[in-house]
Amino acid sequence: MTVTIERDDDLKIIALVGELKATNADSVRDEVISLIDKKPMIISMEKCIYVSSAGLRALLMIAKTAKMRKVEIVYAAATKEVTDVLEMTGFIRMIKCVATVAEAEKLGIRK
Amino acid sequence: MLQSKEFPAKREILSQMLTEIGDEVEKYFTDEKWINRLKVCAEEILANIINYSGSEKVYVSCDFLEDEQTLRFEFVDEGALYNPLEKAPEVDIEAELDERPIGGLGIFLYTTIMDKLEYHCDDGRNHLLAYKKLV
Repeated sequence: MTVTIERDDDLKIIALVGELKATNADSVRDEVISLIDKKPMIISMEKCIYVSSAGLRALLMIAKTAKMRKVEIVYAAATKEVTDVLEMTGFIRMIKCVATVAEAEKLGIRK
Repeated sequence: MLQSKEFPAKREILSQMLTEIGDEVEKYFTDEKWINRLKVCAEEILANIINYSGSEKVYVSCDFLEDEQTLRFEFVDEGALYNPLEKAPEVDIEAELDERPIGGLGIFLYTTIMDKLEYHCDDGRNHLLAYKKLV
């Protein structure tokens, strides 16, 4: 999986590309957490094709860290299969998830 | 059919194991949602064996039970005897972010997704069987 910064001005957009799984979840978690600053952050899941339970733990830790640092964080544009896993585990209600990056950008700017 | 195929219990081999399991799953399941769900289950079970069992090898079987129209997976390891089904933690999927523990998600997922799970110890080895009826 690669973690790329797609936008970094008044809003930060981070894209997760590939599979978020047992073998890379810890490093992805650490990398994304290291990118959390004061700006609202959108994590684009558009090109994240798979999330395992280890991946869910990473997403949970990122969300908990952001909340602790009082940074708004939104997960956007998850694929159908990833959304299924997010729904099954209640993540979809627990963390802020929206259908598109554009929708998330509106939320971020409004903040 | 995968028949008790031996793999080194190493993280570097996990992707290969999942690819081989995925190939079997795709012979029977066409819905991407279910293919993905079964991959999530297999990854969790295998990652636990690799990370915590201490076993050097893992044996994976996957066969189709015609009468029951069910795909059966078996995971065998030679590590410390451990029944993962015995201490499955409760996961409150309604819990808020602050109250949500980091652990327990993996077993929650595979106990939710699979129709039936069985554990037994045989010849000092852990056997975990997981069943999923065709959907």
